[in-house]
Amino acid sequence: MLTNFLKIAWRNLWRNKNYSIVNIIGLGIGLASVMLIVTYVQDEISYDRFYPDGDRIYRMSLERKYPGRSREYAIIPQSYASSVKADLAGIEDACRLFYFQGNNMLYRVNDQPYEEQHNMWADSNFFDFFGFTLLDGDIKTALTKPNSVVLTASTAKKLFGNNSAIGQRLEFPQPQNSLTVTGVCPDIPENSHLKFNTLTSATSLGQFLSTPNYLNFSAYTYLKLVPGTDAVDIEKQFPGLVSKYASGPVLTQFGVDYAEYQKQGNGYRYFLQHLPNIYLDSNLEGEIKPPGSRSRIYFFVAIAALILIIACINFMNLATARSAGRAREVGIRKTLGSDRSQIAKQFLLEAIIISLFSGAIAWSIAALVLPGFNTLTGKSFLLSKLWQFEFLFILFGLSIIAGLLAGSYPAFALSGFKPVDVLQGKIMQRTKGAGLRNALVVFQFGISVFLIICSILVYQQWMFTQNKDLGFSKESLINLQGAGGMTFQEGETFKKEVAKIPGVQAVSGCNNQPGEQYFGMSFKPQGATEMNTGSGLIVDEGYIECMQMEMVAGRSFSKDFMDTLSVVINEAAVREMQLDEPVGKKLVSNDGFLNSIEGQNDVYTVIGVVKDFHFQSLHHVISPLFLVHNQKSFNPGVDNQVTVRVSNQNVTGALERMGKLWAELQPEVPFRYAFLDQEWASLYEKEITTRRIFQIFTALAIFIACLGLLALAAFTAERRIKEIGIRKILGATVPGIVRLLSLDFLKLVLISILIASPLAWYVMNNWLENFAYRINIGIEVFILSAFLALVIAFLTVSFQSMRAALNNPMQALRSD
Amino acid sequence: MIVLKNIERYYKQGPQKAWVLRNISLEITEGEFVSVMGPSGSGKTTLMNIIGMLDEPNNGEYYFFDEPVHKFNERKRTDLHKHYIGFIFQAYHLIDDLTVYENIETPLLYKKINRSQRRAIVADILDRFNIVAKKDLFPHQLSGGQQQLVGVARAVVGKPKLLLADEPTGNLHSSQGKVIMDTLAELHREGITIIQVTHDENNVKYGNRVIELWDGFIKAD
Repeated sequence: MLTNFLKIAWRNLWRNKNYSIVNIIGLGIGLASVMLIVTYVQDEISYDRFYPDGDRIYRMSLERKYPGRSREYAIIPQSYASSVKADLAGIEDACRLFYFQGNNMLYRVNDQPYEEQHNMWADSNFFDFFGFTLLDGDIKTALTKPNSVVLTASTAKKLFGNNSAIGQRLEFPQPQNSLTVTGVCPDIPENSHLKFNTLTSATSLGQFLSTPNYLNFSAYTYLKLVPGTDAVDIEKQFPGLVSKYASGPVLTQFGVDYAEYQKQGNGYRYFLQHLPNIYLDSNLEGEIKPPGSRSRIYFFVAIAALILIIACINFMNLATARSAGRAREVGIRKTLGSDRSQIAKQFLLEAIIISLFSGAIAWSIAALVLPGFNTLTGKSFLLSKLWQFEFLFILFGLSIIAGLLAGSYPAFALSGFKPVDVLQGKIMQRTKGAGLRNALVVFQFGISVFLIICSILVYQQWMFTQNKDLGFSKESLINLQGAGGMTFQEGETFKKEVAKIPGVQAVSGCNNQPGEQYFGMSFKPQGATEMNTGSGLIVDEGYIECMQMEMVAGRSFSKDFMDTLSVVINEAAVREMQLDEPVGKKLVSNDGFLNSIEGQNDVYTVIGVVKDFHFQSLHHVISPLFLVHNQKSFNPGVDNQVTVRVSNQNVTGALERMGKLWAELQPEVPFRYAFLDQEWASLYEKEITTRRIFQIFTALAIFIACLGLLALAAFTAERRIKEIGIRKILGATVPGIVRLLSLDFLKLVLISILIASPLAWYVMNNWLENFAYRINIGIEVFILSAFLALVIAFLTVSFQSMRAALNNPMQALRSD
Repeated sequence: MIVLKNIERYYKQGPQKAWVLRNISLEITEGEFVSVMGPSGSGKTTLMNIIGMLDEPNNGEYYFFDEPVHKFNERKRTDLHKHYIGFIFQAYHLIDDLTVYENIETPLLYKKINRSQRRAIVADILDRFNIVAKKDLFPHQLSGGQQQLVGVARAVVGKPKLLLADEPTGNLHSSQGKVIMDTLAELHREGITIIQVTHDENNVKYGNRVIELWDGFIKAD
């Protein structure tokens, strides 16, 4: 019986090659897309699942409350780790990590300069705490002594080749900072929210670490709970800890009692984040790695499901459309003694055979596009991933399910045919299954239209964020990082010399560029009681001009004035502090870190207001910003980075000369430059990826839907071939017939547009809510999408209609 | 063997009933060769379908070997017909995607006969109908007469007690038709009960009983 079925199935597929190819390829592309997305999603949810004790490790994070707003941080004051461990029951151990973003290490090994990204500092129990091993060195003592460093295997290999790294030294310009290698650990897996190339003993941070600190955030603090301890119970005890440890420092630093401080709307709420969930669920300030996103996962899963549904619908539609052709066989089989279930089994089997074929094709497609998919997603999946049992199992399972799903309707509809009806040619070709088929086409095109609308809006929003006036001009700006090693004099010389290079239009210095993390600053108007928190930026006199920012009041910093205690604020700060005439107003800051006199508040004078500019991505609303002069800085007069505006001619030549100047002034620091527009674009990297994936899979979904429509149109034309012949004899023109055949389908597409548009509006309106600056959804998007869908559908269908219409009518009629 | 009592069949056409068979009562005993005649639309084919259990009467009783078929569900009817009844059609109705051999084998599959037995039975039939050379051809590679011969072979491969032939020679040349009718006659001699629908007086001669239908009634028997 089975061989009989298989034979029939195979011969039928072969006889209807075109139909089979459409089916197999369509489902194959669908399955391949689904598999790639599954692989991606699988990788995303595999983050941080490999720690032996991962299920009872939590990160202690902070919601810092300010009057009227709050901000969540991944880093917290470094003294809490020991306090929590000492005061609370149920804490087995605590471990701190320090990571100063964008702070690259410059060192020499055997007189060869290196620059290292991703450097962390950790407590000595790090390896034990997270269950990492060491390839070399003593796990107990590797991080106990100051200036000892553990390298990852690939870093060790880069620096020392195959020689042992233990005992080697990383030399720093300041000899007291040089590090000794005490261990080599395996590379941290990609699918971890942790990332480092070097891990230095936290004891090297010296004074900073030993000073009690309960207010300033710096440490990633991980807690390992005693088995059976409830994280919620631990969280409940945090407020008590805060009043015990933080109220004193609050009183000294802000001059208010902690209760009063809270009444003003300030406060610290600590909470726990479960280690395996950090990557997907946590998007706080100061994350170590750009976080993943659970909603993005859902989003991709949804797309995968939609594509699979579209491909399955093709399958079902084509099979039901063809059912008339198979009806006679069903009738004969029934007269030969087959019962209904055997017929159903036969058709299900056929469907599954096709879907297994598709599965094989899907595998090949996935293997073929894997490199491109890696580039697209920034992942690095290997071909061997596709050979893994899990992958094959899911592919096989999905193929079978798709086959069952797609074959179910034909199986049950066909097996219900009465032999008497079909053998006498009585089967109602037009009505049978047509309703369902139409509904499925509407559904399919509904999905396509929905996806078209979404991708247009995603694209519009993207263009909006890219073209929005940022308040500065990011083009033709070169950023030179690592200038902080120069002295004030060297920096001045460098800037002066660079300005002389032909093609250089302006030079300035600052500590951070838009897109980077700014440090926090708080101010209050003199006499006011409430502090306003915002961000701080340290700049030189040329900065505003060089960035082409606009002053809306007052003046910028200038060499003609003594500007050490001057401040330029942005419009958001003016609004937040409700200053009527901002220029000339006195602002008080108690941020002691900016080189101020011990125990004394700084009093600044507002000299100007800069027009609001975006120093964060457009996800964020512009918040208050305080620009202070570089003479009033951590390191007076020294700029962290030098920004150069160049004309578009001979940028390379200009860069070369800058490099030469740089090498003369600080040879030990590699000359590193970046174009600000590119850096700015990298803020949107994840979004670009999401957008591209979305667009590609949207295109695929539409393609598969069209493939189905094409085949369906072919069958319709075939079925109506006699009608077309008669009409032509009666004088119908070719365009008339094309119109006749296409109109039915276009009606369906029109219905799907009407259903999909409001849905898409609803979903995308919600999505746009995530942006602080967003487009409004205009009617033209829907008109454009409708037009696109209609054109695509018409082109698909009319191809078949044309063929049918151009046929010789006599040929069609003779065959009857 | 077959007892029909007051069989009626109609189709609903709006509020009205279009009668196909009215008040048919007849008895057919084992070993008969019955010809059903009548103009088109007189209900011949419907009668055949009801006897062949492919269609159900609206009213009346049908006993097949004393079993009350009109009380059976579809599964039981299928069971009965696959063991006792073979069909021959005017349009042959071979399965296009199967070879001659496979077409003949199919009824045996549904009777769940094992592979070696099937091979023996089919070989026997091929031999008997002189179509061994054609066994690997597909239906469209055969002439009409050859196709119908395969149709007959397929109908009798399961050793049915009753053979229903709906205008078996309707699409054939007279010489091809004669071959088919001779074959049927031989099968009849071996003891098979045959009911054929025909317009052809020549074919009637092969049988031993004629039932004439007129507008759904039995006009002559």
